[in-house]
Amino acid sequence: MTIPASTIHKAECDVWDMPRADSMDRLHPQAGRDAVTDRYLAQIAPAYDLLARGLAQLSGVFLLALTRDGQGPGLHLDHPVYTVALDQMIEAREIIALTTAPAPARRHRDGLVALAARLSDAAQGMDRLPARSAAVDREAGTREVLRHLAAAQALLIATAEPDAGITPVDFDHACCSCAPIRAGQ
Amino acid sequence: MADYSIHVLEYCHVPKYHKSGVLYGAHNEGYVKLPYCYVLLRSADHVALVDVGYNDKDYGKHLGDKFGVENWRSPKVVLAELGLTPEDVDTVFVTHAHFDHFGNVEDFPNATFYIQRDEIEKWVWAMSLPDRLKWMMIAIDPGDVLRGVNLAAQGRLRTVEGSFENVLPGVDLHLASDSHTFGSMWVTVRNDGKAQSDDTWVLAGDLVYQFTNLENDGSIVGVDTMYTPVGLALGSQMNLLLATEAMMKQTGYENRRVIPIHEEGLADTFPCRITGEGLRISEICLADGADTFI
Repeated sequence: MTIPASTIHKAECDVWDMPRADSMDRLHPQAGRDAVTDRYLAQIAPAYDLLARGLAQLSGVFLLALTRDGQGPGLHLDHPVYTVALDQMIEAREIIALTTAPAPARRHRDGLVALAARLSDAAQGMDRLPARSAAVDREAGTREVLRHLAAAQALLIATAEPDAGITPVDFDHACCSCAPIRAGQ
Repeated sequence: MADYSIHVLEYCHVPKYHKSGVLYGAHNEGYVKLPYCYVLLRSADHVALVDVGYNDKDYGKHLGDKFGVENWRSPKVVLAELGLTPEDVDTVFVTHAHFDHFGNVEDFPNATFYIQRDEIEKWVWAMSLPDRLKWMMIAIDPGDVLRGVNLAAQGRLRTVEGSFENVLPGVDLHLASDSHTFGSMWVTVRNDGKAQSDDTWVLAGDLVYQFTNLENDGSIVGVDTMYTPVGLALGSQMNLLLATEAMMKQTGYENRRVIPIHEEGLADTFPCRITGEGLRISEICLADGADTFI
């Protein structure tokens, strides 16, 4: 059997940077285990929050654009939140760049870097969409944006650390939550 | 003549929920059981849901551990009690974008979804605000907004602006702006199909949590009973009261026809049963010729 060369990743490709099965617990830097990790989690939390918001903002603007009736076939990215989302992603990247990750948190930080990159790819894809005039091109471009957003969402879930308050959803005052029950408040 | 059977279907519950969240001003009055439910509308031509519950795959353990949410069951299990599958659902009305109402869209592959455009637009705006205003972002899952995008790309999400009459025959959608959420929606079923219906049911979403919101002790202001809004409102209590008045007017001011889905007391008002999975099915009404599931 011949395997096409393009399917084999190069030696330096980060796809090979897989964790050993016996080190899976190190994918998640646990809060309360040591001061250095706790400091990392506290510093990185605002970046996570900005990225979560960025995902919601880009998704929301894209949703509104896709469901806009009677406004022509193009994607309208004139929503002010689109610009806010781009600014917040820049801010998130800056926080990540300034945050040093201790060994147990390196893969977590890498995950956030990848998440920011995926959101950036999604934003660029959205930006290119209005220039695609053919319907088939627009559909392909839409699928591309959705792929990036879905990958970002998967990374958002994977890098959540609820014990450190790093979670995509604030359930604490949700309409149907019952926060104090388990906390014994 | 009744076109639709209406059932309230529990899919999990919180055993102890602060009463002050349910009823404005009920501080230090303890806890109530809070069922999480969606509503099934079934006619000869349509299978529709009001809300879809939340996605247990992503957050179930977190919600269980931290908030005490118990006994979550999938739509497949819940709907099977009525001889249906999630694939049978052709229409979903999303009353608002909180995770426990909008969080499980992926389980309904053949449905077209309706949500108020205001709800999405203002949530997106809220996401752009600084941290000191973060209270406005509670209970919104970015993943749900993304799932909404996927629906939109498939042409299965319709955004509604205000009222929408006969979205299905005899079914209307109404906006309660800046109330429980930015763009909460209630669903009105005119079950005899008439424009001036004598058989109207209102599915209130979270605009009303319990019947007490419709008929509370009014002695403090010198009346027998009065509306009292839900405790949790992102908009205003006044808008909640005005929406309550509009819903009640549609039913001819018959309390039992405004259906609160978080109301454990539905059991005292309508026929119901507990399934083998420990979930309650409340039978609000039956279409002509339909069999009971109780």
